[in-house]
Amino acid sequence: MNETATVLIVDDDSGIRQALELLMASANLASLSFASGRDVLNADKPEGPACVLLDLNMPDLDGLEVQQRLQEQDPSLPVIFLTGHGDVPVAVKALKYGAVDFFQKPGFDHQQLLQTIRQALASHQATRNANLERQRIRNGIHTLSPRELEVARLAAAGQANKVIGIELGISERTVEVHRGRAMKKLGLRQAADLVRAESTLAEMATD
Amino acid sequence: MEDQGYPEYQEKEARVSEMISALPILVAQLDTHYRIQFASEGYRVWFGLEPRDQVGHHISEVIGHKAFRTLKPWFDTALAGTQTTYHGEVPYAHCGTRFIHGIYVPYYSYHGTVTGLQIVANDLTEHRAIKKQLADETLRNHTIIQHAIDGIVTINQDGIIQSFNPAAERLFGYSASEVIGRNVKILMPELDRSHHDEYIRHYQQTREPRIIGQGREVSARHRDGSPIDIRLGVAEFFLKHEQHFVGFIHDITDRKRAEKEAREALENLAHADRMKAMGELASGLAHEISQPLTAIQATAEACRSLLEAGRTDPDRLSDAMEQITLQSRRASDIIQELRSFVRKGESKQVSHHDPEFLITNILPLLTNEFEKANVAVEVIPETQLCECAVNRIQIEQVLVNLIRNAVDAMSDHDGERRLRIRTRYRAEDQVCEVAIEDTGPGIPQEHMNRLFNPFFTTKSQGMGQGLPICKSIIERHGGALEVETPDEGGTVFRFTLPYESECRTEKMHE
Repeated sequence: MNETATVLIVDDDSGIRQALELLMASANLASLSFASGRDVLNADKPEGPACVLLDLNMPDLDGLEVQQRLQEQDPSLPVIFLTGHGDVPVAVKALKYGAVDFFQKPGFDHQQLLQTIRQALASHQATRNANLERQRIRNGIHTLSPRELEVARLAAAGQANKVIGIELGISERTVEVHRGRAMKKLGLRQAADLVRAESTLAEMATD
Repeated sequence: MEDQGYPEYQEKEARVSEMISALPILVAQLDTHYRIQFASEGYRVWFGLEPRDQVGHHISEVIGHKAFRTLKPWFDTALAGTQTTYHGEVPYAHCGTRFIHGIYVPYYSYHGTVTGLQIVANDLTEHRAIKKQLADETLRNHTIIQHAIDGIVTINQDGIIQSFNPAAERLFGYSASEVIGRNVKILMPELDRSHHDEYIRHYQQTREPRIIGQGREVSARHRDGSPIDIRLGVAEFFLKHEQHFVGFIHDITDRKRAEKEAREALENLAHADRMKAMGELASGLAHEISQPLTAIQATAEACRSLLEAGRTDPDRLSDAMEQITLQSRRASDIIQELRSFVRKGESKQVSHHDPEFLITNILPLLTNEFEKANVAVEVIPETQLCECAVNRIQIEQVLVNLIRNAVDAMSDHDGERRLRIRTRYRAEDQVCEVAIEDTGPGIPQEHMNRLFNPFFTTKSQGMGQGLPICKSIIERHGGALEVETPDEGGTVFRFTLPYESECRTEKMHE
């Protein structure tokens, strides 16, 4: 994970934006600030992993609505809410809509917030990686020969080369060659990667 | 030929006779049988007879029998050799009853025997009438002064009390006899005493009236030392070329007390209303205060992390510290404003403010309301600054009430939600005007008349006290509160405050 992780700060209060920017900087986290829900929705999202630190109580578009629209853009983008004390019922609603957590202003634990942000960024990173891998597999799968695809599916299902050879009526050595080629075309390096790709392969095979 | 021997004497006699005739008095001479020997011109005027023709006639033929009978004892006294005077009415013929002052002097012959009497009579009828009229008038004035409800006190140019009516006695607790002859300063509070001589001197030198002819509300002092609120009118008059002053003193203690009670009642009501408003605004205010606190905490936490990590870039840390200062000031400003808004004890203070300043002061208390209702706010000062003498808290309360009403009116309204607050100085009537305009649905015509009635409300949570309190507060300040629904929609609440002036300030301070 060499990409820069970015915290998207959305708050209509400039004082709070500035403070959160500094807090992120102090924790070596990059951040981008937005003064309204509209601004963050219209902005180009950063390349790398990100999470949103969203003020629940904002004029114009409120936090809940911003959350929903962000999730339409990227369902995996984690949203962490900052709320006022009176907003707890709304915050609970936000959790139901898939928010990661909410922190009440003022007086929340900053270390805990930073930890939650790091976890959210990691989770976004993981989801993004999985998606990328799946994409790679999808792209690679069309380049496989029918035999290579057959071997790859059986290998992903955990079958040993020898068993695959017997099932397909080819030599174990031929299985190894097909498997190696399939791995290369799909951009996979280890056997474990292939196992992880099993579900994708299964989906693709039924297409 | 004889006449020629005494021309000087005859001339002299003629001149005396002319002089006597010119006098507005009766001069006559009678012999011992009451026969007229001489009658002056006055007799023509009084009895319509040629004086010459009267000579030789009995006096009763001229003045009438009744008059003769009245005066006969005095005639007789004179004829008996004693001068006498008559002072009284005489029922004359022809000219009617007259009040005369008559002097009856015996007339002696060369030999020393009484040969007649001389009459000098002066008509005092008109004089008497004037005197009587004067007496009546004096009585009337005396009665008025004695029974006046207001105190009436006269002083001379040195401030020495000349008269003191019963109302003044009741008012000040002194009897007239105690204070007449003393300086009027004893009726004044300590503060004014030392200046009173100066006031009189100033008027005598400049003739520039400060109180004369206009009346003024001032403080006086009862005998027991307690203060009395009075309205004092002063007039100036001259007696024997000496300047005097008369003071009319109206006791306004009751009115003052009633005013004070009304003011206190309004204050209590207004305070309760402010407390209620604060209760309703509390969660929004908590939010407003929690914002800067959140910023402060996050900034401080960040600083700590940076320092621990040895990242001590002075610029960055100094910026952070400045942010902390800025944000803490923001929080304390809100708390300050909040505290002064609900304060009661000091709410009597009057100070000079530009309404725009008050508006910008209270807006932070309402920021959250605007955000919740999604209302855009604009403050538009249309003219240069204008200062008003106001009870700041109360005017802020009016602003909070009217602004919250406007926000409420728009909160369920589709379409534009815009609040405009305009301030301007109206030169034509010297007032500052504040207009609060919303883009809400307006006020139905049927509600218009009852809008300022207590307990009239269209809100489920409302008490219907806000607008009546606003109206009372504005009217107490000498202004007016009006409402209007413009054709283009929405509602405008407009209130005025008198442009600052010293006398207004004085009144408000009472």
